[in-house]
Amino acid sequence: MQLFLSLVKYEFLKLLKRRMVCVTLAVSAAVMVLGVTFGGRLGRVYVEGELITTQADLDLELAMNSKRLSGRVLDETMTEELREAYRQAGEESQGEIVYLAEPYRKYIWPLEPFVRWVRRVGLDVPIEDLNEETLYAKRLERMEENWSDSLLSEGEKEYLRGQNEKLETPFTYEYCFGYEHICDMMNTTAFVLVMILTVCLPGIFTGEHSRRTDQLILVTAKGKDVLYRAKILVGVLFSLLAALVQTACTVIPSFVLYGCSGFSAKLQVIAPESVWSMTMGEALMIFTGLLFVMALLWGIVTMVLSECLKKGTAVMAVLFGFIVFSMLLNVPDEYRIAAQIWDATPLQLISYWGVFTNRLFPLLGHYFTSWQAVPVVYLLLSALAARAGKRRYTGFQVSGR
Amino acid sequence: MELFIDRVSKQYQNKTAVDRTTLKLHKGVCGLLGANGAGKTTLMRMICGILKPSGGTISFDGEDVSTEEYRSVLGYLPQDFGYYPNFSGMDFMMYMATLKGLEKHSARRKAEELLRLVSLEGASGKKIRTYSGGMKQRLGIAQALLNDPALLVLDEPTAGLDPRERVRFRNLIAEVGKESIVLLSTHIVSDIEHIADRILLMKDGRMIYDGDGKELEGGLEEFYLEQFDEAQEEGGWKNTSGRKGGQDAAFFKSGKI
Repeated sequence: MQLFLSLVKYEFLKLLKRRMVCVTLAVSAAVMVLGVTFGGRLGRVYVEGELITTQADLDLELAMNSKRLSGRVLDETMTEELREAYRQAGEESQGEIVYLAEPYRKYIWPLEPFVRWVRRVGLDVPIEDLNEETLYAKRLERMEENWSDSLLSEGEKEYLRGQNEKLETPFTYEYCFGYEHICDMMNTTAFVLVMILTVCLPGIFTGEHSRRTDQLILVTAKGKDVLYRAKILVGVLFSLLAALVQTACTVIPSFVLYGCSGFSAKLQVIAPESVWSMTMGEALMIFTGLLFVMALLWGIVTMVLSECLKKGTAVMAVLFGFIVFSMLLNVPDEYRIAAQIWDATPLQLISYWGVFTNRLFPLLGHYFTSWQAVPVVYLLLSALAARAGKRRYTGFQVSGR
Repeated sequence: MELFIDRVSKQYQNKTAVDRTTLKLHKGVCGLLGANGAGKTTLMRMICGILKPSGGTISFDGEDVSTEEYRSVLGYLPQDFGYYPNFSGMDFMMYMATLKGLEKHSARRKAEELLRLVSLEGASGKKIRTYSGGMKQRLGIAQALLNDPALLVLDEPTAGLDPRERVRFRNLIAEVGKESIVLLSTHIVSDIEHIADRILLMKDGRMIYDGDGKELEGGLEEFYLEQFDEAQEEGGWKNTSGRKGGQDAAFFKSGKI
């Protein structure tokens, strides 16, 4: 065991002493912190050609409004208040209510978090017809529509209806900007993370071939099985460490900006159509857990691929190709199985649509959610990939030099 | 103590690099002579288990070449190899010792002893990227000896060594050969003629001579050069290895370095 740990130490040293690894880690951490802090908060806000405020100040105001409304129930009283606000704004503007114009800012803006929630429900009735009943009926209607569009089976729909019945309605609004911001940024975090792993990890194996040290290590007693395990462990630890650093670079600035209250806010505050009974804190933990499992799979696949291709640039070409492809491709819902598999791939998974998808995984008469089934599949795939890589590594032939 | 190479062949697409070679090696220094492309490195790689033979088997005291037990008694210095440039000489030795299964304290003691033996004790803390070619070669020799190998395979070990180092190296190998099987490949006769108990001459993948060299009329070098000239006349050098045979011939005939 001590020998194995010594090898792990040396492999870590080899990895961390490479300048490219240090530079990649530092740059990506800086990019993430800056992106989380300033992304979407830069610029000025103009209404009808007139400068009214900055985006950062507007964001701050919205957060203040949200805090003030925290704890309010999204019920008839709230809809009545909203109707009244629109009526007053309409009277003052004497015509169309312009978003962020003076009447809007005066009457509706203080209730903006409610307005946004109503918009998310997808309510398309005139504002004077808005009430609690139409609001929640619309929510159910939209949910059923979405389930049909996603080609869910009757069994799945029944299961989701059952989940929805467990939810307490009307929902209570709670301030959770910090958590919302983190969950919004998680897909970007995942992208940055896979880029780090794609750049840093191939060298663990390809470095031995490019430096021609493979022939030294493969003839030693522990240079095959034990060293392979040590290298894989180092890659896995590095992947998890990078995931931790990237998560910290997302979470800390978000909490600094918006505070960390909102752990117990219901998921429906930001995703009204969701049927899952969980808090924003739990949602964040699920996101983080999945990010770590995704990092594990990506890390192992990168290392195995690097042992197969022997060249770091070839590995990067393949994986960056996949990353770009991930950004461009969207499998339509009508291809149910393909769409479900695609949404379970690493870069799609770490997102609202990937994690909290309504498509379920049936197994032995039970339904499993994406966040329950996919990590198990990822762990199995990681183990299989590691095993395949070992065959490749131990069977390497030094020839043609 | 016996290394048994049993009808070992290595066939590439249109070339036989090693052709049904059978050998039994015992304690002592065995010099493997042959020009570039003769099949020495291929044979040594197969002996070290990093190249699978197309046919035949290799074992050491009954242990197959593919086993950990076999690798644990093996020391290998490849012909052309690399280092970890950011490691110091001592880091590298400790890393190799760990790979060879040495316990930490004995690994350090052994590493220090070997670095002293190859005159690198003063540079052990320096990064390998600052080492000269000769220093790197000496470090390679040191790592091959870390586990007190019962089977030491050295592929052109004297490349890059200056004349003084070359003499020291010969003495070192002669010493190791008292307790171990040492297989040393070279294309320079003087590297082995004084220390080898047994000499093998390889040509076009085949062993064309196996003996102590004493019975050869005109000596080992004369015999070797005859074989070399023959091959050159047949145009074998360029055809088999793609290297410039003329340059090599001039190198051999100009002296022993």
